[in-house]
Amino acid sequence: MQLALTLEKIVKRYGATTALGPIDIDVRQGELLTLLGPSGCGKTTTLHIIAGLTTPTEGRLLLNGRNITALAPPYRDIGLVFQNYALFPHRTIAENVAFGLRMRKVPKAEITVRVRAILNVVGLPNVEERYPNQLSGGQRQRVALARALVIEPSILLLDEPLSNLDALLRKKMRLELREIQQRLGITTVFVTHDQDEAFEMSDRVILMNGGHIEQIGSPEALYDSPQTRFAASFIGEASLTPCTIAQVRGDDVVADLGGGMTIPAKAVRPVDGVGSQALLMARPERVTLSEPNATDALPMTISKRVFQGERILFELTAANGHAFQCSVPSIEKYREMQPGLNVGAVLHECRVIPGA
Amino acid sequence: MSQQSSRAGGLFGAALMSPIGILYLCFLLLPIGFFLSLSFFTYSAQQMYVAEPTLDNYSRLIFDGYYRRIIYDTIRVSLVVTVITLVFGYALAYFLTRVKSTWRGIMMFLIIAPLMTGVIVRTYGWIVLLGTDGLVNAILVWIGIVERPISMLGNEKTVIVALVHIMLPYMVFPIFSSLVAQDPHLVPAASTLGAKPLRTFFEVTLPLSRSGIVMGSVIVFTMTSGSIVTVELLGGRDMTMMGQLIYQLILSTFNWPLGAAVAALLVLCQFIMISYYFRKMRRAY
Amino acid sequence: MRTDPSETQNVVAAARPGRAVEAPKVDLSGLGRVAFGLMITLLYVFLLAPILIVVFASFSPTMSNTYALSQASLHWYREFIGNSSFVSAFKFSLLLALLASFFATIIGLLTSYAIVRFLGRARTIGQSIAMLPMMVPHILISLSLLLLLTRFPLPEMSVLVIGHILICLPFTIAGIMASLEGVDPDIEAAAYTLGANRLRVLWEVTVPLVAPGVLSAAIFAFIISFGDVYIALFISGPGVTTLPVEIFSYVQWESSPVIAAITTVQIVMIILFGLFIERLVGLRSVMRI
Repeated sequence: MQLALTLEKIVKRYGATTALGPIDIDVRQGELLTLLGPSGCGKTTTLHIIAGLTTPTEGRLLLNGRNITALAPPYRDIGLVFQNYALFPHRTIAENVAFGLRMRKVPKAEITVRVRAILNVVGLPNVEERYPNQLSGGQRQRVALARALVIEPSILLLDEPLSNLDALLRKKMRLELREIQQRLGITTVFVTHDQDEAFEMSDRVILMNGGHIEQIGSPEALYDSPQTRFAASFIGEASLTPCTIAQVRGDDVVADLGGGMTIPAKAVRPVDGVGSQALLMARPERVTLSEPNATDALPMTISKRVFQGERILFELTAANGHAFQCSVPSIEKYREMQPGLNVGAVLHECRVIPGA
Repeated sequence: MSQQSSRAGGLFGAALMSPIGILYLCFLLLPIGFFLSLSFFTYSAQQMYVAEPTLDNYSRLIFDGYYRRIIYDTIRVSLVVTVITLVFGYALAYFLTRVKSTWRGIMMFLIIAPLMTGVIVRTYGWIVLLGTDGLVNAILVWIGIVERPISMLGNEKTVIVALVHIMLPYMVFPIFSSLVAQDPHLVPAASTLGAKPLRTFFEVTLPLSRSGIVMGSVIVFTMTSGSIVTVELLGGRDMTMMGQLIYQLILSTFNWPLGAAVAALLVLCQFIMISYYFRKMRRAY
Repeated sequence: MRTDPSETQNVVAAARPGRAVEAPKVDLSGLGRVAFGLMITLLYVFLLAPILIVVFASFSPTMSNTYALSQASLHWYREFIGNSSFVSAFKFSLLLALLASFFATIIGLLTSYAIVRFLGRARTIGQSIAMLPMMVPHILISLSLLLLLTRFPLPEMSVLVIGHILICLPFTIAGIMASLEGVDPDIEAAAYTLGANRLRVLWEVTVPLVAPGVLSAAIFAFIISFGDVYIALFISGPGVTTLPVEIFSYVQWESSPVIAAITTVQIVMIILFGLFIERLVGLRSVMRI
């Protein structure tokens, strides 16, 4: 797999405080890589370092093998879409999109052709002569995208581009953005704090926290095998319970939760052996409910019930005091279950995170 | 594409600042420093000054009753003008924050307009207004308070009135800025806590507008203590302030060292005033 | 979403009159309200009376400043136009104010851009330094420049222009800064990443967005320069001087309504300019001391 962009040991310090790093990231040719994390995790700083708007304190940036660490943004060959679009309010849509081409001294005739072509790609024909304030939020977003794409950058950077859209439009734009990205085959780095966006759009996701990378992987890998406590708790819903490893066979382990409660699970990486401490992760949608005395089921009591519409969320408490979340479809069978009821719970596909 | 460092941001900022830097250094700071340093030199009728260090200029200003009187008058008048301007300016600034937004533009314009006409026009306005054939005398005679027009020019009170008029806009706007910058929820918050309106004003609004008060006071004190035109035209023969003294010393008697010493004292007064104000302000937070 | 021009303009004219400015409100009792209202009214009368009386006096048919309105005449305006020294001083002031406001605006634009975008934490210091000429008595600036003239063979006119640039700068910087603060830095960053170098970003993106503020600052600087008396009082030589200095030396000896006529012309000019600024960005934006 060919690399488009490499971040080598990038560090950003402000005075004595380290805001970012050291981090290493490889962006593969043509992929959509997402930087995901809570606010202040360093994802926007990373994006700004790639764009050249922030200078790293340490480290190197290679774009297609060329060291661009010291290169100012105008000379970097990147397209950046801002959260608030940052369209030039005093220029028409055509002029906005043409800006980067003009800076590159592209002949006028060619500019007209390329601007029209890219506006078609983003699905916005016939708006060339309008001004940004005459467009809707979704349309502005497309213009911002077109403006970044028209210069045919080596890499496209998207800084939370969907966060200013309303919920409905946001869902539609996710798919559309991904579709355009794949059609053009453009290497893209996408920044978001929204894991749904990250899952739906990305080839790979980088989970960041506190200026560090927590985990890199496909959306599935991130959801299925979180490597750290933070990754397990930030992505999706999870019940996290401390446990001791009771048996090991390859990556199949048995976790002992105390009080005679043992659960088979898969280790996300090799455990330190029998008796070592670990964290058990159970996803609520992988918990099934049955009769209290059913085989393989753990006896638990419903301690809380939250009706969510299409699903019902139960909180279950085991005899040893541990609590687990359980999310079930909103069907009659489960609707009648109320707090205080004793049930049998089967925790499927649990994961064990060693040492966490 | 040339290789251009992205670290050039600081460099670009420095480049942007360089015109004003050069201008201030060469035509403001260095000349003022040079001028003030003349105060330590000896006066010479032939060549402006002789570079012989001396403190005579200062001792003359401090021990000669004539000069001491002028310095005292300048500080007194400037303080009086600053305080009166502060009270009136605060009222106007407060009014501007409360006036309906449709009227605010015109109300501001009416305060800025006098400022824009310049010192000389406003001083002249007072000459016309208070002259023996002016409107005020005409009204006083018409009402019957006086029988014949009285001379209102040529005294300190008139100078103070005119200076307050001239300085007022400089006080209003810094205070207005500090009032507008306040969190509008503070006053309702104070009142829900049981503070009465006046109490709220003195305990919340006024202390929070201190930065505007300091800024306005410094500007007004500085400009008042350095004023020449208004004092010269309205103050008459008996009244002299430091600005005029410098003017006379340098343009009439060409005594640069003594003129510089007066200017240095003037700057010193302002410095004391500014540092006093800033200390007060720091204590507040 | 600050990308549409109407919104940006509103941000530029941050405290434009006509928009709600939230400020602390203290409710006074009825009597207090009346007293406060009366005080404000009197203050406005106080502020405006000396200006209005000059306009009134300028139409006097005689040497007297008071007259019956039916006798109003343009006598003193004819006198003004016929007086070559006043006319040439007027022209000289116009020229000086044009030059000073032009340079003060350019330098002010560069400085305020640097302060708003590049100074970071040093911003307050930069701002205070920029306001320096406001903190120094103008006679001190003027005398120091006079001293400079006696020591170095500089053209008198250039030093006079520099003196006026100095006194105008605090106003242009404060005014343009107010406009710049309304510009979304991301818009500049967007142009920057699209391949425009910093100068080009300033010229193609920032300047068009703050143009109304810059123009207003220029006009305000023009007015300040036109009305200033202190710089020219020391620096300009006999024969060639500004209108305020000419008026000052005239009024020192006699007061005649011809001065009222001249200053009325000036007042009308200023009111027109002021209203223009008010339409453009709101006077509040230029009066940012």
